Amino acid sequence: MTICTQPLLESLFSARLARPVRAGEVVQTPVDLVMAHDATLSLLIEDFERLGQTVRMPERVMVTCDHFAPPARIDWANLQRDVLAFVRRHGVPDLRMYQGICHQLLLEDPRLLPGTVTVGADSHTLLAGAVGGFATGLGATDILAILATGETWFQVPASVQVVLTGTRKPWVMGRDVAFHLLRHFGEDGAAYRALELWDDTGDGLSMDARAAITCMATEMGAKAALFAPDAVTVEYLRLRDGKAPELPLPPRPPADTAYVEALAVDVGTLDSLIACPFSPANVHPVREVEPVPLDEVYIGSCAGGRLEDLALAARMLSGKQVARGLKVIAVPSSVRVMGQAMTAGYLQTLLDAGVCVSNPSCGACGGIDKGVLASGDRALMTSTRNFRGRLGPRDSEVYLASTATCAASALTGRLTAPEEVWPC
Amino acid sequence: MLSERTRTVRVLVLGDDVNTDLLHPPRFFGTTQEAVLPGFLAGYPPEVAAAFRPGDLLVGGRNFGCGSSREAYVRAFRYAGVGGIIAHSFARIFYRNCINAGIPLAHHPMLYRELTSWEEVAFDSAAWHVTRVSTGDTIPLTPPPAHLQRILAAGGLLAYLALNAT
Ligand code: SF4
Repeated sequence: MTICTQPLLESLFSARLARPVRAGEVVQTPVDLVMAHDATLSLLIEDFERLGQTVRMPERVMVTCDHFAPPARIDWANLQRDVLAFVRRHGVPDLRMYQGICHQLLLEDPRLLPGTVTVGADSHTLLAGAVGGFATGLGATDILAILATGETWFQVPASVQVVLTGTRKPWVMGRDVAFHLLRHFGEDGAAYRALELWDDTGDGLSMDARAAITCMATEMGAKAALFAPDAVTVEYLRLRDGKAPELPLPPRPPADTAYVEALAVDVGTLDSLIACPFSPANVHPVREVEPVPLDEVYIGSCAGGRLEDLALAARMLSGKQVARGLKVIAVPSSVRVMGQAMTAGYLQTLLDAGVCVSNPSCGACGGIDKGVLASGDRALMTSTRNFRGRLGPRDSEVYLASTATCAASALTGRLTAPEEVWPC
Repeated sequence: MLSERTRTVRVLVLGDDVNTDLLHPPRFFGTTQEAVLPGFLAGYPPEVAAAFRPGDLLVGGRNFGCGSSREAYVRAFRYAGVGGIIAHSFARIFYRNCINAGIPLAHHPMLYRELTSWEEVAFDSAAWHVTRVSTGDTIPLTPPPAHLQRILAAGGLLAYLALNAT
């Protein structure tokens, strides 16, 4: 049942429950896809076994080893051992050993389709809404209950409609659109709400750019973020799955639809943006921030290690060298992305420029793996968060920016707006 | 007269947008007490965690607990004995995680501006109010919705699941 004056998410839940569902209602619903990674799954195993539970629908589960990939410490190796034993014991078919970041693997998974309900034991599961379904993050205990029962409860969130128009400057990326939204909402402005995004931009945002935006909606407090399925979605799914998806594209809901807020963003007016320490919502134009010297530049994470990122970084660093003594690290977000970047020659270009290319994983983003900071270090990263102490000591600092800004700054060794080194 | 469910404890007052990396930085990720307890409040100067006693409450502002979904922080709260959390508003995953762990959560818009750290209060997690020991003022709190209070009353989601197993 679809009520055409509903926001997309309310239509989605109405269709699932076969009755009109409005924002604010608490609904009990089966989930289509459940993701848990090595770090969060390890937290629920003991309780799961103690309660004598079994995995209700193993074919709907994806388990990734990406946070400790591979483990650098004995205690984390032990946790991963327990995760692998759990997967074996419960016959979960889909195990991804060091195949990439969980959220990127969801995006690449044929089970993730418009209109589906996906939960993950990780806050950035919102990323999966890029293809047009409901996707949200939960803690390990909620995931335990979902593994055991196949369903969970949600309060259906009210929706904010975001319409993107205009044509981006060549160095302005999906990540900059996300920063603009972060500047608008702050760290909690979208709390308990869903962002419903419509892409009317001149050249259309790629799925990579969309994923950067839905990923970062987490930092606005949002419960979900979904791009209305359109021609870009259809083409992405066709290439991903080897066949065109059968889906009706949703019409734009009329003006009297019950949105809590409607926002129009002309992406043509945006410049490269940056989040200064210690909040992802502490956003400024890169050109207005002091060009401080840097110790590390990181291109990776579920917010910035996709093919589009590596392609642009390679283009900007081609035939050049990164600044002397600067730690520059690139981590492709999945094995598939890494393979494509290898075939296209991007990885060779990055290696030639002096970039350390590491295996697909969360890498430095989580502060538990490759690339943690030294006391007093200042880093520029495409990662999701720059909270104090996330990547190292309390006196280390992280700035967050697009891959274009990171690549420009890798060349100069200080915070640099991409247009300073453009054209390239 | 204080009932059994009421305890006199102290409050640690924190601000707005208190994120999970401050409450429990990711490098303290683990499942055991030895691994996670040293990370409790490790985003703050060390004297903060040192002063915290079992039963004490965390009191914060808007968007309390924003950031990660890692329940390692919930374990740290349990080991440290966090008696309850009162905030203007909570980040949604954090909110569910604490309810699931049986840690009482309540809303109050201004408490974090009215109380000072380490002052004593009596916390009643059944009637949902706090009483300031210094003044005797009783301040009503907004409790979680009924379906979540049932999970809290069972002692958390796992106990609730076990109770309701068919
Ligand atoms: S890349 Fe970073 S934000 Fe994304 S899942 Fe991994 S640790 Fe979390």
